[in-house]
Amino acid sequence: MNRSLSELEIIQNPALGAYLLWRFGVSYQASDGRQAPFHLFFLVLPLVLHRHTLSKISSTQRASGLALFAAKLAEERENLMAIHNRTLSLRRLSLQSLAMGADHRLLSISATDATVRANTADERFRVPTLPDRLTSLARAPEKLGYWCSQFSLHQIAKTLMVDF
Amino acid sequence: MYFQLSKLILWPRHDVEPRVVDFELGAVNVISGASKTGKSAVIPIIDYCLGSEKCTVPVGVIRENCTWFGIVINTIEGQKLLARRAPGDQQSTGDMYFIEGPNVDVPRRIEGKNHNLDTVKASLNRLAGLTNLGFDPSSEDGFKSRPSFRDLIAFNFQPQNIVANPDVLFFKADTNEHREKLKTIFPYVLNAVTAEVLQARFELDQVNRSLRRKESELRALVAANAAWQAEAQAWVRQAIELGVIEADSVLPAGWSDILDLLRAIARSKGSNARPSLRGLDTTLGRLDDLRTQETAQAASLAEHRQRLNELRRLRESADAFGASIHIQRDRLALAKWLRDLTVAVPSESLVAVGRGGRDELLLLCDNLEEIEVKLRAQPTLSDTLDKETHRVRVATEEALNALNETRAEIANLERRSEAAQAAADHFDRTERFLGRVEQALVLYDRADQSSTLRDEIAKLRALAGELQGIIAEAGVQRKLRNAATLVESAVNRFIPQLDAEWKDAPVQLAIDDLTIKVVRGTRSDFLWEIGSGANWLAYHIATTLALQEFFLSETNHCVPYLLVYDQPSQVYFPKRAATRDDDRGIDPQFRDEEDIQAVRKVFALLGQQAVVHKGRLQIVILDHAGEDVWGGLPGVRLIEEWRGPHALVPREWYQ
Repeated sequence: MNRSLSELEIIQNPALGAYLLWRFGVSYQASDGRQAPFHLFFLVLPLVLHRHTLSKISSTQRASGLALFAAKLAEERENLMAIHNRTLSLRRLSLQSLAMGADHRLLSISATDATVRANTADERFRVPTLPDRLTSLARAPEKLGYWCSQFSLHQIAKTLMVDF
Repeated sequence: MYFQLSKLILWPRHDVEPRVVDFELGAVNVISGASKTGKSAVIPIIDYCLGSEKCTVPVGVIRENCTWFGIVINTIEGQKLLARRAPGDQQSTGDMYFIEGPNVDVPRRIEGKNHNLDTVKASLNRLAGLTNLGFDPSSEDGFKSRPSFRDLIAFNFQPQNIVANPDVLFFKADTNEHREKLKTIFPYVLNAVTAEVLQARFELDQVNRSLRRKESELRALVAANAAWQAEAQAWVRQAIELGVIEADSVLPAGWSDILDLLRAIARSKGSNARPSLRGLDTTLGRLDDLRTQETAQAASLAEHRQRLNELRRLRESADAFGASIHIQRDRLALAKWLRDLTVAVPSESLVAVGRGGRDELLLLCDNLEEIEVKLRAQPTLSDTLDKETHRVRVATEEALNALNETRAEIANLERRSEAAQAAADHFDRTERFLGRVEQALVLYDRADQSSTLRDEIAKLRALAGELQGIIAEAGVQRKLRNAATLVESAVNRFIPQLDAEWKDAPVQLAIDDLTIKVVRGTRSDFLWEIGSGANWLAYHIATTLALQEFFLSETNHCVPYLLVYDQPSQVYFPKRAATRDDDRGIDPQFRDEEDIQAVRKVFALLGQQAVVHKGRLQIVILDHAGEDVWGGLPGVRLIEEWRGPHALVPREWYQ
């Protein structure tokens, strides 16, 4: 491809998305082995790929949990309420990222119970070393995965004011 | 010019002594000889050694047996040996051997050249004291180029084909090129056009050029001044407008008053209220900062407005539900969305998601829908958005105010900077105006009556007039006519001593036609209109002698005082009826005593002239006629007789 990519295309690309979703899924599964619901995977990118929201995730302790994060975000409530619209906007990117993850066997989608399994790496699988700029970006879905694993889908939707 | 032939030398191919013909100075030298002994080669050999373009030495015995031709000439500088390599199969060669000295020894052999044709010609030109100025300064025409020694040869040689030729009077004047050049130099050799005149011609050409240039310069200046005077009032008004002089000044009417006023204006120093450029720079710097700030503030305002809009939209779509509101908005509805996509065009990504295929995908959708239905059981509630709305509105307001303040400052600064710009412009305009006034005054002064340009033009005109006097064509014509008259009178003195038909008929020199006219009663006939070989010969002899007399009247005229005639007696010999197999050395015989006397007259006159000029004139005659015809005449000497075993080229060279 001769055309140089726009900044948007560089950030919102399904490969990065697939990676971020995989990290989210791995983290979600880590606590009790339950697989994350399909719906949740559509919330990851809208939260992580937004600078202001990302900075709130980074500045919230893992132990503090989703509620505290949402409260911080809701200091200016319109920020919290914007998640829903952003989720709608990034719906297609989330789907493409899921598809790429599934295609490359990072993720396995289970149609019967509408969940996604993040496939953990075996010895042969080398997790790429991320550049420093991306480490905070990669940590955010891990935190989110842990936070979400503590709540039901319903509660998450209410906390983040998202209507499925 | 004292220029006499001392020796004629031929260098052979073989290693033997060169053949040398010695000549006697200041006398008539006769080489008497039979046919085909080399008489007619003498003039071409001399001509070739004096630098002719082509070698006209006959092809045959002479060319085949000689390697170099040479002559020794006596000049006031001493002797000069001029030798030139025989051309062999070529037309000519530029290789020359040239030595000078009080007395020159003839070398036994010439090993190689030490000069070339051009350097030898240059030496001869210098010897003749010829001007190096051309005849026409503005012409590149070869006929008008400087006179050269080569042109002067025309007056010295009368070869066989010229000596009694009715059409051609002078050597080499049978080609157009030489004719034109000869016509050009004729006034020069007759002293009507001198080197001084030629120099004056060149100077005048130069003077006229510079005069034309200066005159046109002056015309331009005068025209510019006239235009300037016409608009002087406008200049003064502009000065008032720029504030250089008081607005209530009275405009003077007279040109000199206006001029004084303009001079005063040019001296004034322009506006004192000169805005500082540094001040302008600071303003511009601040303006730059403000513009950056404005951009940032505008962006912030846009963001706040966006938020405000969003909140307003939320409020408008919300139903009051107790203290909270129920927000109505599009759900994510992933199940429906996916299903719609699947039904429409199953894209690559969807296939990957539903790894199992369409059914798998539809199954996923069903399950998703089930979850969503449960999720929608309760509406999403939110607190009131008033606080948010207020906060955002305040923020928006603040951003707007900040932006407006910035914009106001920008506008203000821009106004101020425009004013500063205008002041600077005004200052510039004033300065420029003053500069223009000053320049115009300088130009005006230059074109003033007293200016040097007019002086220069006057001087140049005077000089041109002077030069015109020197080169005056009328003067040249008068001098030419006078000189021609002298020559003509000499011709008229000589003709009665020769065998011409009309002994008393006056002769005129026709320089434009390079010939003579014979005046008989009301008629004047050109040479070619007169019959008889005897007449042609007589006029050739008389004219060449008369010209020599004119040249000899000067101490050192540029034309060599030398005459060479080849077979002048030929017109008195009957045409040979037939040639015999072996006609070598056969002499034709004169028809009668009358012809012999006619030939003797020619020799007598030439001898007499050689005596009269006391050794300054040398004449060489190559002829069949023997001593029996011209013997005993004063001034006439037999140099060599080429008969029997004797000839120009020794027989042993080729036998």
